[in-house]
Amino acid sequence: MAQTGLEQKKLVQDQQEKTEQQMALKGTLASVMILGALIVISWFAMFALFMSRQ
Amino acid sequence: MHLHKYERIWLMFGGASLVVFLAVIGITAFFMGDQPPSGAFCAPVFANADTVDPEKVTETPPFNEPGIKKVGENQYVVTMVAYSFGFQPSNIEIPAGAEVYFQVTSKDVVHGFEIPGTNVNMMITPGYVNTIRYTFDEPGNYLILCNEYCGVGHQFMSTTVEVK
Repeated sequence: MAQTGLEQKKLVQDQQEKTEQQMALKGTLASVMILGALIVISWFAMFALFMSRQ
Repeated sequence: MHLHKYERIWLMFGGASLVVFLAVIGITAFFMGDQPPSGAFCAPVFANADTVDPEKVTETPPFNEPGIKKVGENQYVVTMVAYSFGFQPSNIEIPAGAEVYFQVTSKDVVHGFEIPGTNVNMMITPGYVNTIRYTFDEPGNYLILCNEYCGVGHQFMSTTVEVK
């Protein structure tokens, strides 16, 4: 019984940790994606400039 | 190793971007023939070696006779010598739509060869022949200038290409 109680407690803790992590990484994901989009857009802009001057 | 769902997303995004960038460069380089300027670049048109004795430039063909040569249907070779502080020949005339191969060398120091507004931009190093191809579709006056500081007269080192 005691073990099951402990396991349950651990499960709940894991669940909480998971949700916390998920919450905490939202801003990181957004900033990574914004930076990534900037890099991709500027890469293609430069490539288009190069092709137009061919 | 546990990877967070978001981490997987941005790793895949980064990896996919890299694959796209390299694929685009690879396709333009190997299937469309985009290559940086070099002595070997215009190999189908020139059979020359890509080196030349910088002290004997004026005696070594083709640089003993700098000028424009028609080599095909609307295809021209411009043989040019860069020196402090000018280009020989200067003020070239070319018909619109012509495909021009420039082969350039220097007889003194390092010079630049740039046509602003186009992709023509290369370094002219004494001892080496550098080549580049450009199609002049739009009529007008194009400026050729030196973009490597080459001495006190560097700012005067330019010439023009008249496309008509």
